[in-house]
Amino acid sequence: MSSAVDPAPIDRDPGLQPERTALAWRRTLLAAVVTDLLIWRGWLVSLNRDHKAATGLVDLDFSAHSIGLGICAAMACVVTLVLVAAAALRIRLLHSSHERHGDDLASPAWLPALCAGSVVALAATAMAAIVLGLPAGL
Amino acid sequence: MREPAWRRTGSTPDYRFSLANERTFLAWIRTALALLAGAVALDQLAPEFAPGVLRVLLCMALAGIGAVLAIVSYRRWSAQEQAMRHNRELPHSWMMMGMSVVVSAAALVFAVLILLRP
Repeated sequence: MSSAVDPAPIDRDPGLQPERTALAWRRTLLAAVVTDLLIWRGWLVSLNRDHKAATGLVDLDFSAHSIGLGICAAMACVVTLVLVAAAALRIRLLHSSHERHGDDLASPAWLPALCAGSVVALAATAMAAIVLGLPAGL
Repeated sequence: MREPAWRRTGSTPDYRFSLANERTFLAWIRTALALLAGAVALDQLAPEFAPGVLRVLLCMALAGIGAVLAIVSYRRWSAQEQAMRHNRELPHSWMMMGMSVVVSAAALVFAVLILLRP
């Protein structure tokens, strides 16, 4: 094929594939943050309940639910940081390999694996938060 | 980190196909995350829509499906990557049908719960 028909992908990718892939990673992060915020909200609601139950600031006693939900919130935070790091690395790889040769753009297999694993961890955290939040609705 | 053995077999496909496969994987991951967010939101923001234990069970089921979907979407990504390396037909996946059934069933259950709500 002549170069006029098939221009080198290094100059310009007509489909803007790396950009679209980078944006897909950013969208995925946003979806993860929504789940996070909801888990954190559950913890804050539980802390607020403890606070109302306490007679004064001094004898504010954290209930087991608040402590458990606090651990869930911390877990959700760690999972999100892992996802942020994975997305940041992937976006950097996409941009740097595109500038160099535009050929080794495919993701290393451990990145999707890490991403799927993080979502499973977030699911476990969400399930724990749902169980711990039970007395709130009763 | 070590790459899986299949990464050393066959030939590297056109990077655009690999990137499209990656975006499809991410779209499924977002679906899984939406199920998780839906499960937690339903539990926290709609406490009256079902009795306590039933609500928790339904939300747990949604979150569990989210976890399974994340694992299945990685396996699908890897299977399609392997098929492309060997120039084979892309493997058939039950994911779309499975998710259609899950979403329809969830909609039906929630519709019944809303109708039966005192």
